[in-house]
Amino acid sequence: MRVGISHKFIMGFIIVVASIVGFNMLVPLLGLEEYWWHQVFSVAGALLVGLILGTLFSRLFTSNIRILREAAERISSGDLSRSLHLPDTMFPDETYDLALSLNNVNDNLKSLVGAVRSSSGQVAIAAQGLSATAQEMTASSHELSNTVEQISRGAESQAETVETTSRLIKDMALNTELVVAAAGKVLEAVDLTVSTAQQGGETARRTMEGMKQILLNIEQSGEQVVSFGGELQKVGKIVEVINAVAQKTNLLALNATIEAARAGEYGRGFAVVAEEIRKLADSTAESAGEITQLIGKVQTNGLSVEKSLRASIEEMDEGEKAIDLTSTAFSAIIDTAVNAQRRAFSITELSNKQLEGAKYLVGAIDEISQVVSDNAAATQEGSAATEQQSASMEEMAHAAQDLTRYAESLIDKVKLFQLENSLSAD
Amino acid sequence: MGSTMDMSKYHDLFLTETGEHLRRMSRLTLALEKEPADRNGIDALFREAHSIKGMAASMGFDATARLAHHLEDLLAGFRDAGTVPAQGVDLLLSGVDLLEGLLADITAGVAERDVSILIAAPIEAAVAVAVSVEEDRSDSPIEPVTELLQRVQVVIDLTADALAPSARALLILNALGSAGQVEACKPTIAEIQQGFPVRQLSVWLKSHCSEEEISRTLHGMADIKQVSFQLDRRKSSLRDDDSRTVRVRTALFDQFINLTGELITNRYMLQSAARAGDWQEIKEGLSLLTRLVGDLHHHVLQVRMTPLESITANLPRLVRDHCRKTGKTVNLEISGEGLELDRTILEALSDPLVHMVRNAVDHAIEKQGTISIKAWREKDMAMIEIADDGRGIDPEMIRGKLVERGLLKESQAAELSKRKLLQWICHPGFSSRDTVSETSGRGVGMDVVKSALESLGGMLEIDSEVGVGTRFLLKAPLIVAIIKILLVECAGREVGLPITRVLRILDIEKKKIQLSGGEPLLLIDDEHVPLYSLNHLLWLPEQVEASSTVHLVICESQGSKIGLMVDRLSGQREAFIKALPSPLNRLQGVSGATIKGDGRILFIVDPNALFYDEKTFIEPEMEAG
Amino acid sequence: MKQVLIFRLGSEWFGLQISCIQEISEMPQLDYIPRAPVWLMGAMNFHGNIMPVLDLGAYLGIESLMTVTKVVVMPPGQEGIALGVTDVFRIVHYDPDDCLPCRHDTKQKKFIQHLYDYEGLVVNMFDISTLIEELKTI
Repeated sequence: MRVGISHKFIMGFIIVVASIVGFNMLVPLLGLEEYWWHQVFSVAGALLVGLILGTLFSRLFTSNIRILREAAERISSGDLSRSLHLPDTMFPDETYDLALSLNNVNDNLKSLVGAVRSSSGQVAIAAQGLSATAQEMTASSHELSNTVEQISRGAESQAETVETTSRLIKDMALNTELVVAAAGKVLEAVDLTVSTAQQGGETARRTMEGMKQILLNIEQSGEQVVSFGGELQKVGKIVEVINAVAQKTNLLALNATIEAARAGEYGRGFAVVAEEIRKLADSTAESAGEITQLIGKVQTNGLSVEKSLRASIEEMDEGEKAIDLTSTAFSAIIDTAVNAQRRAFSITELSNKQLEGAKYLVGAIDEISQVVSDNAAATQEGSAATEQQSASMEEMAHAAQDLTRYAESLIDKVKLFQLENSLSAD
Repeated sequence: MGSTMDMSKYHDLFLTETGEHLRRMSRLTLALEKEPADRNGIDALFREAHSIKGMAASMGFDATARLAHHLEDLLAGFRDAGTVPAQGVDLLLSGVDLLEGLLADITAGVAERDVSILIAAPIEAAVAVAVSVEEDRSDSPIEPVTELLQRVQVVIDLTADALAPSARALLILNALGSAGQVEACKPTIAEIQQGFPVRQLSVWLKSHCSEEEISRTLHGMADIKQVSFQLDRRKSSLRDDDSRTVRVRTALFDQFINLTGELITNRYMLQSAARAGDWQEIKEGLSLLTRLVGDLHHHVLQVRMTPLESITANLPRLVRDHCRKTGKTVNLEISGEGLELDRTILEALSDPLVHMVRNAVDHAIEKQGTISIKAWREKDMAMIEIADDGRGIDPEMIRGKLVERGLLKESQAAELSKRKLLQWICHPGFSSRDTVSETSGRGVGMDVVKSALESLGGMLEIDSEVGVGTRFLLKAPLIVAIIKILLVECAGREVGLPITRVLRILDIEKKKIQLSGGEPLLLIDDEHVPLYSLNHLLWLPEQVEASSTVHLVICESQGSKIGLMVDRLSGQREAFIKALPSPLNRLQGVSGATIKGDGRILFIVDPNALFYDEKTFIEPEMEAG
Repeated sequence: MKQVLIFRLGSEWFGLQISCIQEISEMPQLDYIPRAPVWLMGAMNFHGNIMPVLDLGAYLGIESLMTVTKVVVMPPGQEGIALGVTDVFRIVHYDPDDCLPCRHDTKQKKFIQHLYDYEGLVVNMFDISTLIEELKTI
């Protein structure tokens, strides 16, 4: 139970007062009749009680204060390694609070110093690295500037070479143009040949077409004659059918006559009809026979027409063959000419392409030379910039070295704090 | 003319029915002979006579009606007496005979014969008449009805320079009329009367006179160049074709009408389907048509089915007459008469049956015995067994005769088994000799029996034990016509062989064929089977094709196996066999023909008959040797 | 008055009474008859009747290689045959007054009853019954 110092005083006071009162009541009990004795004893007892209590109290109090003072001294000396402990009591007071606060201060300081120490160490390491890097950079920056200088020298010689190339290529382009002109003339000549040949061929073809048309006409008439023959044959077939019908009818009429005879008197009329039918069949057969004869005659005539037609067709065929030969010769000529034409044309085309290529080459070389001179200028600029860069690099290296030094001093300073027992032992 | 046509329709019916009545009368009379006091029998007989009287009277056949009436009177008298005397039976039978004679006259279209003798005579005299009639009959017992008068064909050639040939022909006909009954002539009388220029006159004459007598009648007439006689082949055809009628049950007839109606409906259905081009409908119509035609065919065949009784009914009478003539006592037992067979088959069996029964009575049974006829059905075949308990046939005697006749060499005859020996009695070269028939105990004409049966697609089995009896088994198809045939090809021609004749079909390699005396042989089951080329037998060119295999059809002929080499076997089928018309029926070895579905004709060759012809062909040579 | 059918066998004309004819028809398809004599050309199906067709020219020995285009069918029944002939001409009425006598000295003449003059055409009147009788003996 927490009891404040003030409360403790009050308690002690009360206890003293109470003991005076108490003694006053108790002393009479001792049987002492003298009053004074009574007084003495009471005062003495009260004084005794007060003395004892006071001694006890102050002793306790001072010991605590001493401990606190010692702790505060330790902190100020930089020893943060120990925290303070007050003896345990039934009734803690404000000293205990103070001890608690001192412990807090100690802890906070301890962590702060730890942090400073670790970060300054890190800074020192970084600063060391930096300085090393800065030094390296300085070195390479020097190298760079050297190289750039070399480049700028090479660029100048390159520009010269490019110019020579450009001149040569332009000469070549000029020659190519001359070739193209010559090829064009060849082409013209070939074209003329081809068109002449084609005209000849066309004439031959037309002649042949005419011939063929005539032939076709003849063949058609021949076919007509033949198909007429076919039609006639069909008619012949029909006549055959008619003939067969007539024969069957005749047979039927005969059978009817027989049946009629079998029927006797009743069949008489029927027999007459049968006889009429037979006559009809006979005349039909007769007519059919005549038609057959006619067909035969027409067929004979048709055959001779067909024969003469075939002869003319054969003659025409001969003419056709001759024209065919001419036409074939012409087409051979045309083929050759066309071939030449194609070749000439392809030559022209190729030289044109060549010319174009040369022109393009010239342009390209021009561009190259431009790029090359630009390059040389840029390289010189680069060289200057590189030098500047290496200077600033050196500065940076110096700065880094400074930084390292600062960081190291910081570490030294932080080292004054003892954070842990082990550290203090160092 | 029309009225005669109508009458002729009833005429046929009259002939058929009267024939049936007469058959029944004959049977009933024979039954009365055994049981003279059978009242029911007398009554039934009376009814039959009454029916004949009625029909004959309505048709205008007076003599027949009168005779039937007379028999009625007789029967009425017997009925009153309660019994029929033995003489009465004879009298009744002679009456029936006379009625049959009258019927034959009516059938032949000649005037009815005189009946007054029988009618006028008292019973005693009538019996005498009856006996005399019987004497007549005994000359030709196979044809008791129609063979009373001889039928001859007289061919008279007139000289070319005859002045009036028509008039001369009429004169000749008149002259012949005095010698007998002119049944028909060619040219016909009507033709002659119309002035047909006759050069040759053929007359079918029914006469008691012999050929010489007829010749004599014509002798002395002018303008006659030559008179010749021919055996009348028209006899059977006249009877077969002209007077055959069929009686049909009304129910069956109704079925015919229904079927015809259905067929007409079917026709309309097919017509409309054909018009609409509806194939499905046409198919259905065709399948219906197939069924209907099948039904119709079945029913038509049914119409033709007739009980065996129709040909056995005459047998008791036949046996009785023969017993009377020969003085033997023979008991005839008939069973299974109800078996129905096709008419054609029955008609073809009729003569063989009569023949065999007659033979049994005449030759097999010595004094007294029993002949039994049994009929039954086995699958599609009718079995008719004719058995007697007579003396039997001695196979050794046959063997001896075979050698004696030169039909077989002694070595060949010695090899024959009893069964094969018995089959030889059916060989024409064997049994046609009368001397043999007497000694063998068997009559002539067994070859006729066998060939008749075989032409039907039937078979004849013979079994005999000396002293025990002889048994003939006739196997005949129930229905004519449909038999299975094997189709074979020879030199591109197709012919059919009846399957019943075929034992097996073989394809053998040519090199397996061996030769014996130039004749090819094949060893089958340890038996040497002689091979014949069917091409050769049918007078067709041999196939020159060099094939390594030969198609063989193994058949049984004369009780032994033979092989027929054919060019090709082209399948088998069921065929409706048609009997061949003259002159095709005289082609040796050709037993029938069938019309195939496509209308083509296929001839049936009986390998047996082909072979048989070969045998008879070589027979004279053997005799000469 | 009788009617006769005039038909041709090779180059000869024959006459046949139509009362012995059932029908005249085109040459039908013929089927093989086993063991038939050479003058039997084959069998025809005549309305369901099997009928042998006789090569009349060959039978009479007139012209064996003649072509047969028609058949003359006898009534089926007793002796149903059909006669193959080169061609049929027509049916004519027959006048017996125009008959000429014929000598029966050769085989073929046995079948000729007499000759008949039809409008200048000599027609051999054929005797079918003789043929039929002869066929019966074959």
